[in-house]
Amino acid sequence: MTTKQTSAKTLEPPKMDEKEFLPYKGRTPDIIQRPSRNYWQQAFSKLKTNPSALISLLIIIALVVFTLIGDKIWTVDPYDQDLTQISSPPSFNKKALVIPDKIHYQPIIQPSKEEYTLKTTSSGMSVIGTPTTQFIAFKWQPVAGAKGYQIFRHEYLPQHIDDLGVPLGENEGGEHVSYLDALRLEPIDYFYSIIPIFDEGQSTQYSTIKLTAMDAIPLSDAVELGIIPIHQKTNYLGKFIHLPAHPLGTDYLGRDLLARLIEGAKTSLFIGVLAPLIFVFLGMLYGGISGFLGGKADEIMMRFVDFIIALPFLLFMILFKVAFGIGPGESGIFPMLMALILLSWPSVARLIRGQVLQLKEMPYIQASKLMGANVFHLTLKHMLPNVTGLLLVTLTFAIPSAIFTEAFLSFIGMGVVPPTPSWGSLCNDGIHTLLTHPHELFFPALFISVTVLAFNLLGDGLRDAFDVKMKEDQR
Amino acid sequence: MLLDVNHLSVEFQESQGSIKAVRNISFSVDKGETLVILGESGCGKSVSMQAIMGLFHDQANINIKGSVKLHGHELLTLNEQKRHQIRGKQISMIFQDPMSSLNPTMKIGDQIAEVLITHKAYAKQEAWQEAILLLEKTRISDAHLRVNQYPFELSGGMLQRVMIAMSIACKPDILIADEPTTALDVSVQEQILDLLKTLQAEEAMSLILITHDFGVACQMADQVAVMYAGKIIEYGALDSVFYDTGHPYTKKLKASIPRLDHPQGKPLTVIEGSPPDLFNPPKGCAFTARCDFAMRICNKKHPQAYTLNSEKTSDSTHGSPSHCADCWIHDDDCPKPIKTAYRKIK
Amino acid sequence: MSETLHTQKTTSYPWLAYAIKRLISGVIAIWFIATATFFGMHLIPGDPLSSEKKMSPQIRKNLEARYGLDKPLLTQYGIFLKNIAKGDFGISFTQENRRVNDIIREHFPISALLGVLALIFATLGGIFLGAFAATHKNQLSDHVIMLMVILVVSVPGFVFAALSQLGIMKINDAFNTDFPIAGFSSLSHLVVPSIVLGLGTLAYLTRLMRSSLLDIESADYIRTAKAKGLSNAQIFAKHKLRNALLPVVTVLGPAVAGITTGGFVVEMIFAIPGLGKYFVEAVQQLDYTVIMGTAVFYGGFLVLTVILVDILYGWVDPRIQVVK
Repeated sequence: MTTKQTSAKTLEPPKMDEKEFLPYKGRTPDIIQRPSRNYWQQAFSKLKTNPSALISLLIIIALVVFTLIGDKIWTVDPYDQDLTQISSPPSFNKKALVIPDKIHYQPIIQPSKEEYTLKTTSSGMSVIGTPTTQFIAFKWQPVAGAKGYQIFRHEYLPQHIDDLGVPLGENEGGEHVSYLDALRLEPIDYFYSIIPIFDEGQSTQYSTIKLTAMDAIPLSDAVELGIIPIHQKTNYLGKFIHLPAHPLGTDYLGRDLLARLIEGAKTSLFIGVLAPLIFVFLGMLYGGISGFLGGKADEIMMRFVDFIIALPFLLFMILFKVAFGIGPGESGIFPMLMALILLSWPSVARLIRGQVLQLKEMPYIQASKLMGANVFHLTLKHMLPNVTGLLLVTLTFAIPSAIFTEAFLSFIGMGVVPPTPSWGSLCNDGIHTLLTHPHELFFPALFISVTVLAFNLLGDGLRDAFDVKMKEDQR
Repeated sequence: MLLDVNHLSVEFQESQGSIKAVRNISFSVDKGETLVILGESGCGKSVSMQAIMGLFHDQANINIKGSVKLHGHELLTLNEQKRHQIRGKQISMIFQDPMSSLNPTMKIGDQIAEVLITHKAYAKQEAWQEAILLLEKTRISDAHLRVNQYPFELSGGMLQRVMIAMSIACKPDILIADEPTTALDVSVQEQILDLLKTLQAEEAMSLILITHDFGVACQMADQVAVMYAGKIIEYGALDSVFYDTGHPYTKKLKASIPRLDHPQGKPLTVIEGSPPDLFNPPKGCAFTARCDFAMRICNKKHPQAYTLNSEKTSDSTHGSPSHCADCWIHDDDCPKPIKTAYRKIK
Repeated sequence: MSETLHTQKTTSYPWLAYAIKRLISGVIAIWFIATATFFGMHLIPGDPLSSEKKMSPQIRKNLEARYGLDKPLLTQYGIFLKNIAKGDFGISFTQENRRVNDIIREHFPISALLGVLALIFATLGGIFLGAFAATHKNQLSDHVIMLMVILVVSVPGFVFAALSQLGIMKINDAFNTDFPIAGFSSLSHLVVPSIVLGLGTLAYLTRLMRSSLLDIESADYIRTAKAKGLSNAQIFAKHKLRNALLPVVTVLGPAVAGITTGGFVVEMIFAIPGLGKYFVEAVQQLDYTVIMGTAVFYGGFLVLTVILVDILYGWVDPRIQVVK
């Protein structure tokens, strides 16, 4: 038998003070200790404890600032083409050699005098002048019996004659032993190879020379860009000057990427924020009315919603874009906006309708109805405050998906039309030069990703803070 | 003694501090006996039972202290494999809400057979046959059809029968029923309680029944333990607890049983106030704030357990514990007028 | 016993009735897609032939006759619907003499193969990673997986495609290997594209699987299973997994849609001659019959997939069958 409680009894209890047995005065039956806070205060205090949501909020604010006043701070024109810096990687302080506008180059004609065979080393090849990004010229020893030469350009040292691939150019006549290359040069190392051509065809021998191009700018370009004053321009010839800075580099037409990203942000965020704002509002109206009416009307309205939701979203986005068509001079923003709104409101409507149906059954709504509240009162005082959390979370999640949709469509060429930049179309531009200039894809992709990430994390935080169930009402 | 629980404490570690859900409780259950644990929601009755079952074992934020002995073997320190062997076989448990306590996507038959396959190494076929027999034992209609159905196809009462069938599958020594009738229709409640009583007799098992309903306690109990704010504040045989109530809280519980002879128009008795915050349980008796007889000492020091009728029962050989209650009113130093006033009320 | 059975079976084959009902609504959806595509295409300013330069009136007339453009719009619509019902999508505008049916027949299998590979990768990977993260909740591996998931979800698919292509190229350069970068001549060409294509879905499913397992963790029936004395492994395999997979099954329809449209881009970047690539090209070149044909085909395919997934769900979750 074990009854622990009784064992205490065996001990001699200490004698108590008589006063201790006077009635206890501190009876306080109903104590509500927590200060009452309203829904919003509660949600925000919860949000404050979520660091990733807060950081996301800061990022979003920074993005909005970037979009709205970015072009006031970074005043470079996003449509200006800086042909001296095409596809240039990020640079702040690039220097270039000022060279004359006219290229001083005379083709060298030198018939072969003696027997000469090419070696794979650069023996026999030599540079003419200074190799710059404007032009590179070089010459070589004539090869006996050659009736022409093929010239190749590579960014790495060819290991074998088979590596040479497609020639950059061809010289006809064995005595034409020099070549001028002015085709999209960049300040990097180039490997030029030549193969002599005989009557019976290509030779099996080739020779390669390594030349390093230096940044250079023609005098008149420098004047035009306003880097050097026009009246004393000749003073600058042969000197180094600073080129315009491009903190994020330039694109394939020499346009400043930072300026284009600011301009693109306007497009992408305009579509990404405005479309969700409109379709969440429309969805709320439709879903609210449908849920409020209930019965047959609700059933018919929801049938329609089910129907649109069943349509494949991106496929229809593409078809919409095609059907709208884009006339000359249009940016393609409006059709995209329309298509997004037309296809996206139904899912919001379904969500809100589910919530309203649930709310309608709530005792306090019933009570309010019994007290004679009219529709306006019910909607404004009871329904709306109870769906705002859900709406806010829906909106926050709708924005990144709209930005994604814009990017996807622009990427496949179905979005905004050049020259209007958007982050998606900048990605599309960037992908063509991905292998040589990855920064052109990297920066727009980074902006899309950070924006989407920030909205997603903020959405997660808001959902937790408002304790919103995102599950749709089961049909 | 079959089950011996000593100084059991359960604490939940939360970010704001720890909730002392069960504070140093001790009780014991003998073979074939029914112990009813009585208390309002949040008093720690379910938590203590789940701690005994070892259901909290894999949760890092729950501290369990004390000892639980079954047949003299400690349960709290068992390794995982041993614990699995005991659960469902020697001790089994049924829960408050049968609708959510059964797997929604598994056939009834499978859910019962699973116990037999696990503990008794039955083949699937055998186990299903046995499952039908078990369901018949619970007086369910068309047991052979039920096994092929899913939980959503059955009513709450039927599901609780399924739970019972599952829990008695291995003829356990002890069945813990955690408010088995709370979620059910009143008409079905009675049937389930009857069933539990019958099965207890048939299978000669002990029953620990958790309830907040004094009426249920009166119907079922041999022994009653009344819990308040994580402590057992009164403990004893049903008769003495009911007729010779030792704690003001128990008296109030008793008074709040709705009666047929309740005068019309008079509101039902309620216990005013709310239970204390278990983040920060009071130093003294937790009921002080709601007690009509509260004395200064009550707020300062928790009373010891006073044995009330040691002269009458407490024959330790038969295992029925003596009736005791944690209340200063039973202290020798407590003034006579208070004691008399206490005895006067119903 | 006074308890009564609540099940109501209106027909003896509720499953079949449900499937038929869904199929009918699917056919209506396809009709809508076809109609919307048809009128959409015909609303475009100009007409399908205006892009062709310098065309003599005679040739133009012949072409109009060939594509049936000389008939009234409604007649054209009727012919279009009739042909679709027969499974005939017409002849391409830009690729002379190529039937849209042939384009679909030749190129869809490649897209389908790519899609199926991506789907398998995404579902198996998502289920595994989600389950792993849930069982290691709040441990380092869980945090790492969830971080990867949120990153993957935030990066557009075409960026992954481009980056992986760049990556293969660098690897090929550095180690002198010869992994395929683009094109399609063997199954190995599809390995990287299908991983890239499935990545987004994988991340989504990982997240879903994890949260659904964690929800189930606190379910009452798991407590029951523990009280029954089942081992953790048994509980996981028999009680948690199946129930946790239910939400995963519901999103398979949207997942297929996502992989299909994502395939457009992946096929474009990796130069895989799938139907998606042709669809995008047709859209860019405004090849009307190909757009209409492939759109209806894709629409039908996706609508049917959603229906199939719903029927599958009814089979996995016994509760669905009784709901009207």
